[in-house]
Amino acid sequence: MRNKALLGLRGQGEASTAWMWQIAPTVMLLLFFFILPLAGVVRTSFYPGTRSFGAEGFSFEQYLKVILDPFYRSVLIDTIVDGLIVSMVCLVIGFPVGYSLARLPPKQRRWRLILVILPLTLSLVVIVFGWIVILGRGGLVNQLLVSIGAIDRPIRLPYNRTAVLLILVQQFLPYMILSVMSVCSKIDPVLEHAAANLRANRFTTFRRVIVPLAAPGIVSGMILVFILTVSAFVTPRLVGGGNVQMLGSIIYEQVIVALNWPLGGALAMVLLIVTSIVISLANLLAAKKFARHRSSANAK
Amino acid sequence: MDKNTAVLTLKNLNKTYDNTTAVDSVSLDVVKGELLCLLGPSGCGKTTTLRMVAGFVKPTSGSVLIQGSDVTNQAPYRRDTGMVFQSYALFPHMTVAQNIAFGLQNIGFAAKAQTERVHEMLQLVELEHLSKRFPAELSGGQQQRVALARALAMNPAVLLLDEPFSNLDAQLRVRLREDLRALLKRIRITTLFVTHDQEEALMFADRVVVMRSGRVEQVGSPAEIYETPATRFVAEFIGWCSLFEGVVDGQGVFTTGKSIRLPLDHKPGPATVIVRPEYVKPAEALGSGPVFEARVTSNTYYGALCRLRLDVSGQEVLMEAHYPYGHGPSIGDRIEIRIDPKGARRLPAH
Repeated sequence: MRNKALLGLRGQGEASTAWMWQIAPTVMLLLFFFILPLAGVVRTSFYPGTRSFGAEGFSFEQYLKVILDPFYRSVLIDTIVDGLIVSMVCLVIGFPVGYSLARLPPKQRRWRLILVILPLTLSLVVIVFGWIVILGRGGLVNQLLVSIGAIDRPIRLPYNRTAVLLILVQQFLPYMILSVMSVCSKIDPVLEHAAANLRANRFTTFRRVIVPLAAPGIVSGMILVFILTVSAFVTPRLVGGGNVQMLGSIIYEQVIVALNWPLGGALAMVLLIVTSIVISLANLLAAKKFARHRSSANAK
Repeated sequence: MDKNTAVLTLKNLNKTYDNTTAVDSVSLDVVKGELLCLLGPSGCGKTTTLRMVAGFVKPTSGSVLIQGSDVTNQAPYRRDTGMVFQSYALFPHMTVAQNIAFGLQNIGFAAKAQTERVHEMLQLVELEHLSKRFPAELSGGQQQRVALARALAMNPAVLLLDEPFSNLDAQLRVRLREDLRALLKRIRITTLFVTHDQEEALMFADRVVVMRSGRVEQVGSPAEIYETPATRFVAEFIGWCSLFEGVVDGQGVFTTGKSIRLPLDHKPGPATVIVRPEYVKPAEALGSGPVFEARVTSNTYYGALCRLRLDVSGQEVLMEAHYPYGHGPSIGDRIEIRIDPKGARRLPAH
């Protein structure tokens, strides 16, 4: 308010342009490091052929290839399914953790929260190599399985889809936990007492009170994990070891290894579009179901 | 059921947290249709007691009986209590009707019976027209009525009210208090309620339990609590009063300070006497009794009445009096007062 009055005193013309200068650095940053490169990718994806430099012309060749070639199509579908699986598993594991963190007094919460966030501070490559050591032939899991007699000799644990998904879950779990925690800490615990007083057992309370009220956090957490999963490329490459193809690793290969930028660009654009559709659908569903009480609560 | 059987019984209820005692051997009986109030300052254990009845707090020792059966170790969702929370605790994602139906669904009401019961409850609290609204779209008073309807829909043995009026503004509070009392009396529900507001307790309850640091100080009807307080704490917590420390002589006259003498009972010895301010009047307003000279130390205007603090030769006396407009005394004025001996109550010795 005060700012506006000040600007008003300086004269109409100046006041109406002042905001432009204030947002200019951000706009510049986004323009040069996000919008222009993205536009470059879009343009590249419409080049015919496999040449990355000095290509000319305009064609849908790359997109047709992505959609019609059974290999790329199956990778696309697998990647989306993987995204859904990882976000579901993260939800199932992350919800109880996020909820219980939200219900802890701040003093007890602090250390546990640090434990949750700590993996995010480590380099992804370090985490992945750590996992390979744990899952390797001489690794912890194999030794344990042999010692309890579950298997006779070490088995090959990494380099398959399950291992990739397991490690992706571990990487992205903190995002789900934080998302659920932030929304659960806004749910008044007295509502749970009210539900109990109305003869709801714990499961009914969870299903009919906590889940609907935590839905915004659940949706945003799942979207976040989904995006991170479908765009992952380090983990599938290192842990999958060529056996597991995900869209992120294929794009990486096309752009960095095969130097086929038009195809890489088209794959990236398809990933972007599919992700946008999934996010919009999730938001639409969530908005439809929970819009009214939220908007009325905000209006208050 | 026999009218005098207790619907709710608390036996020697205790609750200790680490080293502090929140509730200290509280025993109570609440009979069918009675409105019982737990009254006390914050931290006196009244809310903890209420929460032990609802099952949200587990007693350290003692037991809670609802309709004769011991529920001390029963989970909250198995107990036959209906609670109206201080913040109302309405489910924000459900409409008024859905809030009321929530409990009915949990005890297996069929869809049709649910609709009927919800409608009946909405009629009871006069909110039929708001059944499709969400809690955030209601005023505080309306939210309170929804919370009440939600609790009553379950037809609980005991209704629990936690500071039910504290979130409402003063005017609304008085009106809703009268309405709610009339409603609860009409449906004859046994009610336990908690408040720190002595005025609320006096006008709302059939019986008042005054609590202090986890213990019961006095149990009695509102009039008993006000007129014949059992302890100094009760006397000072409920309403206003002058407190005199003195002695009763052989003639049954109580003497305190330099000049105050009042006829009392015939038990000689030291005594603590309280006098409610309405028994102290300007000399001309009361026909008989000894006259005391008093100096006004403060005069607070309350509309219909003025509350005065007076100094009677070093002894503080409180008076409530009506003065015609413009004729009230000011601070420092010397006035003559009379104390009605009927209003002098001796506190039981401890």
